[in-house]
Amino acid sequence: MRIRMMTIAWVASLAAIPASPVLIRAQMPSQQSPSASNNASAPADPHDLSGMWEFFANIPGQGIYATPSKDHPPMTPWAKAKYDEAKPGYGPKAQGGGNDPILKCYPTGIPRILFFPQPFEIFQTPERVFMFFERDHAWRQIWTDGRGHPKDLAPTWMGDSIGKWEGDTFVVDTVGLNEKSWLDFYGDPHSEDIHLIERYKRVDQDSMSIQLIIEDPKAYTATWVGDTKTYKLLKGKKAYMEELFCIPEEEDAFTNRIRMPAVGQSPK
Amino acid sequence: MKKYGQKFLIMATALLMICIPIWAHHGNASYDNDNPITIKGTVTEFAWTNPHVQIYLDVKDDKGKVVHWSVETFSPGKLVRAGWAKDSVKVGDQVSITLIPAKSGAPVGFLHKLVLPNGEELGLRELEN
Repeated sequence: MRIRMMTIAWVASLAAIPASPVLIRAQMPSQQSPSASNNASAPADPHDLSGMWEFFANIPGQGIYATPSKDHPPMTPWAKAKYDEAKPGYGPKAQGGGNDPILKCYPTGIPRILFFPQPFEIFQTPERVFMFFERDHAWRQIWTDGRGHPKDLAPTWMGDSIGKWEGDTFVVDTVGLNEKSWLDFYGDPHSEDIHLIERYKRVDQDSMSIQLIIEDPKAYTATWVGDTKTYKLLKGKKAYMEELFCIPEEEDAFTNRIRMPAVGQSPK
Repeated sequence: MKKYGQKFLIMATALLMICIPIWAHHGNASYDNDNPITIKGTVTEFAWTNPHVQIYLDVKDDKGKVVHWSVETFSPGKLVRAGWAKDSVKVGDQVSITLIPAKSGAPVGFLHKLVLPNGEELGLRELEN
């Protein structure tokens, strides 16, 4: 019964989205006059993050792709052991093949999903900010109604997120992440104790920046302050997200046909 | 003349700094990011699938021997945003592909640009200029 009530509440909340004035704003970028939409540096409403955003590594000055910043803080022995086990396809330890959990279609999780070269869409409602990711067809909710984190959270892939505006910066506070996901593409680990801060800022009409700040004393002996990364607004026909599920058979076929031959190994 | 050379070096360095990251992020450990090559051949399969679209083609080498190449590129969603469609490439098409080759020397690569029989170019740019 409780589940049914929750389902009804969920459907009702979804049905309420189209009436939200924030969503109407979300549709604006593709409906603007050509002169307005071409003016990339025009000021935008700083409290409006809605739209489809994508991370492009080829933006000059973008810094290091796929990790909060080039250098991670010193690791604890616990984290070092996990890092030594990791065989990533990217970064300083990059190798062909490897044991990246996403090769087995494990969910990407927060915050790693933010580093994918696939876009996400932000929806703002008065109580929550939603993020819908092309990668994994995943979504998350960030509560903005003033609540705190629940006590005794069971760790999950996306964690529990609350957000608030500090001036023109939307600050997201996340806890309750499980430690099955890698923090980034480079095999850097995190523990269930991770406390993640994401700082979102609408820079101009076409740009938003995100900076990650990570506190995880079980894994790192100092706070990890990430680079400020730039995300670009997808407009017009480009404002489009496709279904991107990880399918084990497709991953295996790709590994056998491309990844293994690329490193000179025979298919499995 | 010396000044011109310096200018050229600065511009070339700046250009490299802009260009490298786009290769670097998908050029994982397997590919030679710095030495793209162009191959021409006949498409035998166009696999429009996740995680990465794949193109397989037969390419004649210098001695006329046919080499079967396997080429990967972005996911379907990213390609759609860059102007591709699921039927952009057909089996039997004579195409030219610029790619970064596998460091192992195997005939495998990561696509940067494809030129169709009619001269149309398909690349990886998702943002409008």
